[in-house]
Amino acid sequence: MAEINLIPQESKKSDDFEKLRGKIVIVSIIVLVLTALAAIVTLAFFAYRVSQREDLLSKVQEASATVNSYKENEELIVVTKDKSSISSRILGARLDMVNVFTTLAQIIPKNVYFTDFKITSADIQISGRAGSSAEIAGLMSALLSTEGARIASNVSINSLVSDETGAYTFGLVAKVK
Amino acid sequence: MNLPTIPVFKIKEISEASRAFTLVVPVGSIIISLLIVGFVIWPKINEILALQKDNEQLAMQADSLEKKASILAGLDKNKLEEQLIAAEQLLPSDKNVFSVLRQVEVSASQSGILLNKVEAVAGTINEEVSTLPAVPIAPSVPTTPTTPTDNPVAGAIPNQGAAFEATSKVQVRLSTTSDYTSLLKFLSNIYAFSRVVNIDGISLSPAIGESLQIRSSFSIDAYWKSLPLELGSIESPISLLTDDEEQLLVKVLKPEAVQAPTVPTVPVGRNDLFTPF
Repeated sequence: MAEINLIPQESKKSDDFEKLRGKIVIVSIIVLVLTALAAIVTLAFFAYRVSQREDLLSKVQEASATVNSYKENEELIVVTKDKSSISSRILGARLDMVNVFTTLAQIIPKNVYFTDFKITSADIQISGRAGSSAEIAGLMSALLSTEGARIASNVSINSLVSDETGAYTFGLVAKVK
Repeated sequence: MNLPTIPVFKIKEISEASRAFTLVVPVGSIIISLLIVGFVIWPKINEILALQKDNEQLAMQADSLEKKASILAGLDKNKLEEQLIAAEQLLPSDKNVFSVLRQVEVSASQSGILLNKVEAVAGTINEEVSTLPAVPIAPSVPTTPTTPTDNPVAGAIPNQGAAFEATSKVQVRLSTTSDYTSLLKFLSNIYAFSRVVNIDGISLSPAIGESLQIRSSFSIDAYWKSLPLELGSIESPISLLTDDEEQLLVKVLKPEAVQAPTVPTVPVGRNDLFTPF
């Protein structure tokens, strides 16, 4: 059986409106409360951050004043560090020529001598004479040995010429280690 | 019967208007809330975020300054002054060309080598050397110390360029005649200088007609570094000396180190500017 709506149309509309109004009021109250809370929390947090900033600024100023009171020490350490670190790096990177000569003198065969010797921080150019091919081989193995490898690498023979006595004239280049 | 219909409609409109009016307060409060969120809370949140970022930076700044202050407080001024004297021996603040020349001459006479030719690339002698100004109180942008432009070393030595970049050098080119042992002794003496020097471009060949004599030519680079013009930012961290650097400075101050000689004074005054001595 079909239901019969006994409530008048106007009364029903009024009830619906009241319900809607009630909902809107509740939502508005919630929004208002949330907004108020958010505003209070935000402002409180802002005030906290501002006071934190002021504390930090005063801390920075205090520390700056302390640093300034040690200005002389700072000047001394900055200049000393600058000079000593540069010196240390140069000394660490420089090639010890005396060591190169000493090492060469220790490792080259007895029947080999140099007639021309050029060394820069990049390469070594050696011209010389050797008693025989075996001496040349000895020179090469000396340069390729552990001791030789400490001063030179990429050893390359540019010229190797013998005369009627069996002595060899040689020219070689190598990279400085 | 003729009933009046218009007033009934008017009553109905008034009733609907009054009902709509009851919604003004809640809807208005929602709109006001949204406006407060949009125009007050949201900008404040952005300000808080910016402040937080600033505060983090300030905290780091304060922390680094406090650390720096504690490091500086722990330094011994007398020891630093001694170390600075040693550092000046290693890397003088000016060229000291004549000191290098004097040192070369003294070493040559001690080693027994003959100096055939000494050629110095001296450049400007009376260059102004600035002193350190006061440390800025307020934090400022770090400034790079001015590197001297006279005879820069960068690129002079291809495979060691990085070590030689930040400084300048005075170059002395030598041609010598000596025996092999004397030459080695001379080179050892040069390396024993308290000043940082580098020997490069050695060329050796036997001297013609002189048995066991060697002709050599090479260059000696004597390094120097002017004092920095500014200390940089107050926040720039302090680098302490490493153990190696401290040992190097101690070594320079030892009595056996070859100190830079003072150039002797000479008598002055002539009647004729062009008469040979």
